[in-house]
Amino acid sequence: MANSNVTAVYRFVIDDVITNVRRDFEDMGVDETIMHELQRSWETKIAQSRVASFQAPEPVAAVEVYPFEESGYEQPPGASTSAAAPVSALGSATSTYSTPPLASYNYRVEQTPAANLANVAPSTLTGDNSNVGRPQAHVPPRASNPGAGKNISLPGGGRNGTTNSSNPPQTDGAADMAELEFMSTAELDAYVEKRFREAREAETEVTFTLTLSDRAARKAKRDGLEGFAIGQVDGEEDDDDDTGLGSDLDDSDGDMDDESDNVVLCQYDKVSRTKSKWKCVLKDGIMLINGRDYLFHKANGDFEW
Amino acid sequence: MSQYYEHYRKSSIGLALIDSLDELIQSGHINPQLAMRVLAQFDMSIAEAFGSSRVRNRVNFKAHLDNYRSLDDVWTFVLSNPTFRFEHDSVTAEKVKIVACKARVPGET
Repeated sequence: MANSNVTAVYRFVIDDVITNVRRDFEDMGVDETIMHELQRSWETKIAQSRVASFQAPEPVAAVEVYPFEESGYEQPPGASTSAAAPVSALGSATSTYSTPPLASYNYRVEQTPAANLANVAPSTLTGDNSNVGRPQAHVPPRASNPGAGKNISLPGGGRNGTTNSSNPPQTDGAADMAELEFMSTAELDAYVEKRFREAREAETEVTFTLTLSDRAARKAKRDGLEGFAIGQVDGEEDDDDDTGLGSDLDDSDGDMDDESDNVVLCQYDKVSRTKSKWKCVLKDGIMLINGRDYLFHKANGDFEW
Repeated sequence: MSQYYEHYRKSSIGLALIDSLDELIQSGHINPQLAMRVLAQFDMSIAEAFGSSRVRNRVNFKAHLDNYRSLDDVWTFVLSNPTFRFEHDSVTAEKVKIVACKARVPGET
């Protein structure tokens, strides 16, 4: 298989990132369990995207408790006040946070604060330089309002740019959207297929709308529904997609942003043209073609305009 | 930090990471500042993955060029009916978009 090295390279990238951000998590006083959760969630998403033969991490047993130890922090006297104090307010907000879609990770905040305290107290009180509670001048006030981070979108924030951040929690009743979002891709396929079958049988025009996020919709399409246009219901096709490359690429001329699912991200050594023949020499590419990822070290392209 | 390209964040593995970070931000477990740090590290790790000759394969491809653009050292091509020829097999597609940043000359920042 042409993409057989993808898994190993992705494995390397994940491990390298996690290894190297450990210190940043410590510096910001974020517990290591969160870092492991990041890794687990990241791996799960890659596995689910099916772009490579990537194994999903073992599901953690639902009974496993992630004690949010930071919620029990005590600041050593004289420490900067910003780090941990407000976090306890988070307790209730996070207690049933569940990750989509592999089901049932229930994060439970320890019921007895004293237990947490017991874990943390020795290191903080003895003032050794363990990360917890270490005064960190640059730690920003941690979410005293748990929603504080919601409106911040990351640069290069994905194909759907601002969509994630503009997705407030649903408060108006049935969360059918959430259900769809949290379906596994297999369930999603089945669901979509069923809907199409129904529509075909009824010989009506296929105009049903899927209230999926843009990304999920693409994924569904990639997973075997090519050819069906999934009605976009969340406004204009996002031309203002934040590509993370600076604004240059975003100034649409619509044709360029004709989003196809197949994307090659790479660097160029040389691009040349003779009349209508183009040649380009590319390197270090990540390609997503027909739902599979491929990597290349070098690539030669011949185009005719 | 600026010597690492950020456009690989739009790859499958990058988007997966962004999604995961977003969830952790929204649930209040990390702040955006830490997420930025993780993404900056991702840029470095991707560069390292390519730079350390973990990826050795070559690809040749032919296609019809529908559209192109060059802005600030970033080429964008929209191709139709590309055929990618790998060492042992080949893959075709209807359309593909290529986003290529200028390869860095060694020693240049």
